Amino acid sequence: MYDAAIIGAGIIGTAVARELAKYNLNLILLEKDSDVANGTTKANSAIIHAGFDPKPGTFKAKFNVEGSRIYDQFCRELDVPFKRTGSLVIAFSDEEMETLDELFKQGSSYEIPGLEILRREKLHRMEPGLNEDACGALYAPTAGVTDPYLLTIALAENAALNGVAIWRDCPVTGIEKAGDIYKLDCNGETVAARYVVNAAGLYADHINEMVNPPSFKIKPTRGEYFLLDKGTGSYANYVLFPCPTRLGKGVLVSTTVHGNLIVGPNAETVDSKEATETTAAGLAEVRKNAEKIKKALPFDKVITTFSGLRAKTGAGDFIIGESQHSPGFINVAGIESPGLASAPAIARYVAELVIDKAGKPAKKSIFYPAAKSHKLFIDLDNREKEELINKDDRFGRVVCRCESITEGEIVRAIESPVGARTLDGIKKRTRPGGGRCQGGFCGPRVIQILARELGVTPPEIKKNNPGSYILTEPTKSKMAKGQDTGSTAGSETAQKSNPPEDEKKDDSCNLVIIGGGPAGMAAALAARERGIEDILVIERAKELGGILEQCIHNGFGLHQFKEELTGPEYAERFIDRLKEENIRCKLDTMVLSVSEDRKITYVNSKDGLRTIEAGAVILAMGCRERTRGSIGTPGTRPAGIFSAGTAQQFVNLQGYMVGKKVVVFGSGDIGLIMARRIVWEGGRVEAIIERKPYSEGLVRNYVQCVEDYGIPMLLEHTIVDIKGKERVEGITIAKTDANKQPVAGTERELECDTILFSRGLIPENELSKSAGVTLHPATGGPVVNEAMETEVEGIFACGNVVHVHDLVDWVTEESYKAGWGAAEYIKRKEKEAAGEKIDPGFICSTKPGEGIKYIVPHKIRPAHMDGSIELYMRAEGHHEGVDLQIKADKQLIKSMKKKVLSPGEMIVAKLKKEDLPEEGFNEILVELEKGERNQ
Amino acid sequence: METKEMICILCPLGCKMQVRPKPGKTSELSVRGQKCGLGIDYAYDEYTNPTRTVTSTVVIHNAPLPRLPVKTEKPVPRDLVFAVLDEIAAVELTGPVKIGTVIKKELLGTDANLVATRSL
Repeated sequence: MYDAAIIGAGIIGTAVARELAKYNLNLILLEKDSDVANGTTKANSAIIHAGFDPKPGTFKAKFNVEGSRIYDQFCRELDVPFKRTGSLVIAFSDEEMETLDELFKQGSSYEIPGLEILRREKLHRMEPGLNEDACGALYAPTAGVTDPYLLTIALAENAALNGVAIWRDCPVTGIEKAGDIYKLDCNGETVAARYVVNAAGLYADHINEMVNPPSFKIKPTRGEYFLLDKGTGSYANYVLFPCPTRLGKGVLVSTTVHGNLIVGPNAETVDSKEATETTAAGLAEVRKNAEKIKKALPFDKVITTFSGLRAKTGAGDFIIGESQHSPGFINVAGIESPGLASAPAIARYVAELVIDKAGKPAKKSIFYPAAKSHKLFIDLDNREKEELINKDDRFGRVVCRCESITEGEIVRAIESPVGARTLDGIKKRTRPGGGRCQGGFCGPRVIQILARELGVTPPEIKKNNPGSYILTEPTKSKMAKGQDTGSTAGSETAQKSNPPEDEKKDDSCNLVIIGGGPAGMAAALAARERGIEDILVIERAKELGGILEQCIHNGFGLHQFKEELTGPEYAERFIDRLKEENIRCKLDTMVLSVSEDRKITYVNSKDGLRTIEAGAVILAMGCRERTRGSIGTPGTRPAGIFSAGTAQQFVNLQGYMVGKKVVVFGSGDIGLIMARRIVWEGGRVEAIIERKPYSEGLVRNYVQCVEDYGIPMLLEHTIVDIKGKERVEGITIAKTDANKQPVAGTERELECDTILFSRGLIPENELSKSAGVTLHPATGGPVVNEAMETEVEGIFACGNVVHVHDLVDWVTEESYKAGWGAAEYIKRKEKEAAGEKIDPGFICSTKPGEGIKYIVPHKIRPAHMDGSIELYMRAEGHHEGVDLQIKADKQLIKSMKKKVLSPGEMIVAKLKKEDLPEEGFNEILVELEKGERNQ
Repeated sequence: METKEMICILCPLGCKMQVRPKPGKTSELSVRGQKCGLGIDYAYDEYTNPTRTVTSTVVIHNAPLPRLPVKTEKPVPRDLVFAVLDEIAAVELTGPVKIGTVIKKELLGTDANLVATRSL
């Protein structure tokens, strides 16, 4: 028998549970979902409002003002980030200025500190980049931001630490009042309690009506959001609100505690309490409204879109208090904005109600106010990081590269009192999957770790609630007698013929290469060929080879080796050569930063955290896939949505199928290859959907992966909706117009359980940015010269980090140049140090002309050319029968007839030194000149 | 013999070709639709005996990864692809295995061996 049962483990339920845990009471917290913080708490703006908005005399006013006052201590005790960033409510007209005056007066009457009406000039000084018509603002310095998941999880863990029983996956399906006692029906078990706190959020009306006549209805109001990549936070110094209207506070622009920009929400009343899908119209509305505040918001940096439901009632205020009909049954309902800000004050108030009813039990003699530290590894200082790795080497193993989350943190999140059991649970607690790759790289490893720690097989790991399975079955399982041969035992340990791992802990190195994929390996070999002895390759995976290891199909090496190899074969040839050359490698090692003066900070479980100074650096980190989140495909967010490369990793490396009825979105080569792979492993591919009028992949892949298996390819189609709550259940597709936009009225449904996104690759340049390297807008990679040197001296780059290649052979070719270039650089520096003067010659730039999207390299120093150079280019659009003309300052120096050029296939043009004019010139222009047979 | 429609895979043009035996000469083919001569040999092969290289994985125990990538050393007749995949699915190995190791000889009576495409 419990003294009190709290229903709902969102921010309110957990805060109440923790507050009550201070007293001698027997408590239970019941959550219907697989994890805490899974409803409204999961998807909101994360703002702690200053408290001037709510009308006098309301619970909202009382609790918001009080909550805001105690938030610092609340978060400090729980070790959860909270920043008082301040907020601006911005007026765009004289009329709105009047509203601000009223809000100012209202706020002042609540004694909210520091409120100030800002006039135009001061406003634009404090928040640069606002639209011109912003004429004033109400500044509230006490407004702030927190992380609602971390806060709720910390509250739950602290409640558990202080004796509260927490049951997840435990919906309350009925409540019976038996005398003074409530009997709660929970998944077949009965929980008896003297008092019930109904903090069931969107479902609070259902719970209320289990014992009481209807007295309120929750009308879910959906709000949609954009979340932008880390680093975009600089676009909002303050939480930026428009002037509030009858409908609410409006679309805000704010920086999260983690440094992301968040934009939203709109407000749309919806029928279903599960309608957490995004919509094209809703997102467009959010964007339009946000751009009324600031025009120049970086929407190209969106990493995901999501929506949340607010638990609105018609009351206009929170509904908090004991039911008139049922003594001891306390509703805490209609907790919409400012619910998060009010939570600590609501918790105190509700706890007092219960305490009074319970005859004022004594406080516990021992209450542990603090939760365990939740500080992320990356937020620790260097000394703390080292200490942590010394204690537990799993903190030296970075699993999530976007957010630099270590295996140690993931294991800690699983082992903690209210531990993570799902992929989303890990993401909420430690953020892998919350970064720009949206779990594309780390998802498979996180699932392995979860399975290992929980003692289950990977297919048993869910994304969130029951039904949200991620993997179906091991590949080859029919033949492998049904046993789970894909289990992870030992799968993360030994390796093949890798070069000996570097045990040295030097403070300096002649050449450091970041990335041990095809680019990094070729660069290392080329530098060694030119006499550089002291080379170190740093690779984040446990083996060299990079993405080639999962590309088990053939088609590699036709240019380099004049034979057709598979990805792993191509990789192994290079790995063997690195071994022969005795080139040092650090595997399972993550580079955290590279500085402009070539200091590289890395972490691994053997060396801990170290900084090494390099004579030259070669960046070879590769690229990542464009995700569903960054594309903003509307719909729900169930399990079963993968980027094609992530699915490839699951199927080819881990040996698990990702689904049975698959749709591929995008017709790039990875998508086509994966379509065939799914068919070959016994799955069905329902369709490949391509927005353009042609297939983007190689013709060979179209014939051998699509046509051979009769897979429908729907050209000029797009996905306009994704359906399914836990797992994908289907999609809505529509025809596209010439701008690749959906045509209304052409929608139709397609049933599927899996969607693979094959929508292109993005060079991964986070480290390049940390080194101050200039990136080119057309390629997304560093600006480089003919030696692949970036604009930062001594820092080179090659492979997909520079621009996305279609063939690994070209990556190898280009990376040899980077290796040679770095070697030349190192030698030149040595000569210069010895007093020798070297004439650098002149520099010309390359310029893409008509029909050419980009050219790599961007700059050429003819004096440094190694006999000849290759220009790597991509065409803009599809061209047949054209002349590719290369001009040096308008003088035609080379012309090549091209039967066909398509954006999917890289154009390679060789320029010999003798092709170039001897005298100095400024520019090499490449353009397409239409021939007779043109279309 | 029937006319077969096929797409030439040799360049990004992807010419749609119509291939059929020349009237009265079963060994000679009429190839139409190509914009150059490169695809004619391909059209002959694809018409008379289309072949494909099969790449997949096999179950491996006692190795750092649970699956070993494999390929048919030579292309196999296209009609045999699924039968070859069944052969591949029946394989269970124990590591270590060296790249190039022949895992199954002369698959289904063809001249193609199944080989490991990495060391594991």
